[in-house]
Amino acid sequence: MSIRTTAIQYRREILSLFVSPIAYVVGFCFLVVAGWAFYVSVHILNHEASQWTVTEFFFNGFPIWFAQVVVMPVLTMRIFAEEYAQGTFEGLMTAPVRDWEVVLAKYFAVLTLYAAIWLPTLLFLPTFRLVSLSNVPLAAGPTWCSYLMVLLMGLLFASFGLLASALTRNQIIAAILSFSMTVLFFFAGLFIFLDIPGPFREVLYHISVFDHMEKFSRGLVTTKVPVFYLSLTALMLFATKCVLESRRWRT
Amino acid sequence: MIVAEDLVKRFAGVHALRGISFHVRKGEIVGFLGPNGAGKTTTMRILAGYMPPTSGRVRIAGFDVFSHSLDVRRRIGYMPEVVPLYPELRVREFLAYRAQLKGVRGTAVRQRVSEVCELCGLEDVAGKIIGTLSKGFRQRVGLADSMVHDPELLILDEPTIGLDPNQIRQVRELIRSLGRRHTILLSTHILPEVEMTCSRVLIINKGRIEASDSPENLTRKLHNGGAVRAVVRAPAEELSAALKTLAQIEEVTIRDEAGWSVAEIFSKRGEDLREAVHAAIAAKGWPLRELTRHRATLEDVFVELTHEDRT
Repeated sequence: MSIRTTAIQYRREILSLFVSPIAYVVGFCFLVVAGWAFYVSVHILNHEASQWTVTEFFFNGFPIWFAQVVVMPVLTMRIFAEEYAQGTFEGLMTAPVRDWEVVLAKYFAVLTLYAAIWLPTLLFLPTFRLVSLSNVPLAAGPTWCSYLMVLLMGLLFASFGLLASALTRNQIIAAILSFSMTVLFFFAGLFIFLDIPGPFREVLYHISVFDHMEKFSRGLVTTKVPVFYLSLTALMLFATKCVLESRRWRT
Repeated sequence: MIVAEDLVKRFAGVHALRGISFHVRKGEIVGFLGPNGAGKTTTMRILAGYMPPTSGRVRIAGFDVFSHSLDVRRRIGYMPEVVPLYPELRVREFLAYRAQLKGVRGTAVRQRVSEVCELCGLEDVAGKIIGTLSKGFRQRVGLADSMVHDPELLILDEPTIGLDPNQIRQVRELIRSLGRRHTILLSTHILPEVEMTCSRVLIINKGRIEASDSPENLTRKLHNGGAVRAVVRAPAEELSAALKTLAQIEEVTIRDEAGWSVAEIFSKRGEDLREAVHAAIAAKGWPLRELTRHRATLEDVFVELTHEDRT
């Protein structure tokens, strides 16, 4: 694998993303939703006593759902599908590039955009402190842990999207595929509220995204959670690479 | 430069290629000719390393296309039928990206980009966004892309498709001038293009190679290569009888055209019959208005080799 070739492709992806309106539209919409959710979090805390901090309210609320379930499939759907449909994939794969380089360059480009849309939310808590002129207890630890979880989820759900996009030349199909995969995984944790017996319930409990976020936003970090997300991500990326390779043996 | 041995490609039960073997020597410009669906694009995709053949082997510049794919891909410039362009990028950005991707480094990138822009007549649009360009310019950007890393071999799939006659002429000139430094394999179904640019023609039909020779030799070998047309004022039957006495003649057809008989005379071995025909007609004292030898074109060769219900 050559880092140089990967970097060249990464730059091209970033250039394409940021000269097209997609990045700005998605970024803007996400900020509206996140800002509104933050406002609601503060509003609720203003009106009733709660055991939750504003950080917990914000990170366990709507923005996370929106970012993973809605925004991620939209960001990733075009990644391969558009190249297939435009015929640029043929140009790309007949250049001296390796399949892994293509997968990783695209993956990092998506992650960059994902990080970029979250970046402005770093201002939310400092602004809140500034405006409220209060010494609300805003612990730095849980905040950074929450962002770590945001990153881990981004890593995983971006890899879902990448795989879905590699499977089809139709962007709508890619979006629906990654949307379904994400929803299944994301909401699997809710099944623990059903009356499911034994070990299956245990499994659901361990993969519950809600539970992970809740713990991290409280500052409770365990290594098994990052290991779980990273290994699943690696598996998805490997699957994506296999899909690209499959054109060699598919008839 | 290219050695292809017995290439077979099957797609879900359909045979796209049924055993194709050919070679291309360094410095040749070879035209790949065939009706739509004959297997031209499939063959070129295999050569470019985009997909493997079901069986058979290809070596380019001494490297196996599949076991040494990267070495091969560095040495070829491939322009697919659908020109792969990112419409949101500017021409210069796109070419610089492609140059780097194909291994051009440092300051050489800018230099190569401006060289190919000049070569392909893209200087005026280098700063424009590809999506806003006309079909002709996009085609030329694709061509510029294929040669930006100065490859030894250019594989061009229908390089002049969708261009207007002036642009076709320009691209043809360009290809001919490139032929001095590069080996070129191009596919097309525009026959004059091949006659004018290529030193050798491969005619492919239904997944097989039907002929491989220079355009001149192909037309010479053609069945009706030496056909002669004579316009004579004479009764059709008598004219036919008179001509059939000539030993070299295989077949005569005569039709009436405003009082003149128009005879199409086919020779047995592509010989020139004009003298003999004239002598036969002059002996009868019939007025002769026209006597021409039909010069076979590649189009005739193509039709003869690839037509469905040929005899």
